[in-house]
Amino acid sequence: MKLRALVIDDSRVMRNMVMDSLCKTGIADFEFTEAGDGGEAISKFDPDQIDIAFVDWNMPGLNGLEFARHVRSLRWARHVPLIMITSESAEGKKQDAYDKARITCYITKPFTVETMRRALVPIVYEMVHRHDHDAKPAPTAAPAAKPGGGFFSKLIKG
Amino acid sequence: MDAVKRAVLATFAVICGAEPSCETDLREEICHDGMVGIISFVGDHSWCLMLGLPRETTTRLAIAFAGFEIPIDSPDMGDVIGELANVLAGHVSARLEEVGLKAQMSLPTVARGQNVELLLPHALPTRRMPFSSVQGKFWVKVLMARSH
Repeated sequence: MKLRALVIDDSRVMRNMVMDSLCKTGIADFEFTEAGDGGEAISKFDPDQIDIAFVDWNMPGLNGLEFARHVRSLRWARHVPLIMITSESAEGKKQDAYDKARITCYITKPFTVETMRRALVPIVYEMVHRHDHDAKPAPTAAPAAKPGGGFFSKLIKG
Repeated sequence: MDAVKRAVLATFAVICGAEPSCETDLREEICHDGMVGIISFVGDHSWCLMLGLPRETTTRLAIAFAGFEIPIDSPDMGDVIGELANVLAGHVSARLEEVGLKAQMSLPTVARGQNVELLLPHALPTRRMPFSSVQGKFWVKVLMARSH
């Protein structure tokens, strides 16, 4: 599965680490767009060209929380998963990100490839499920039972 | 201080692959050769956290954190040390919030060089904690500026 990801962090090293970790999860074939701050991210963000965004919180200029709030204010972009990857590990901060910016998922630094993978599996599953649902015509009869052990079942169990 | 120490041990356990140990030798060199990451906090208390890495530790820790080699005099190394200070500060902040002390973190400032001397405000309480890790020695210093 191909995923077009926007990676936003003022640190070039961190952007490389995020992209490297995402590739190592094996969840998808990622195509990356990078941004060094929230302002640049807004200029590069197009919900028709970006499937998912990974955003740092503390950045000069427009920070990650402000970027996320901006994206969520766009009716046509609300479906895009926003993953916050940040050093802010306090529960209050985490709750702020979910409540005020309606981010999809919160990962604290330092993270491992496994942390990233476990966070992304349900998100990507939901994306595929929504894509398949949108693409299918409405069923006129009960669908046939699918055999168990599909890709995502194995991924979640694994 | 206990919150800072626990944050250091937990954070660097993930980065280094093993928990660092606290050193007992508290002697401090006036001048530092390597890199220092500095983060300030403003909130219920105003304070400052400094992470000092000697030259040898800097390069080894950068590989452990970033996964690739980074020249010590490159801008990327400034990124790495800033991120390390940031990550540590985030964990300290979380532990302090658990006991009701809230604070806002600044963006990190990073200094690099030989004979770097940190000139801190006089008569403010400071505490220096030396550590030893697989990647080498490092220290963390906390300066308490003001309580609101």
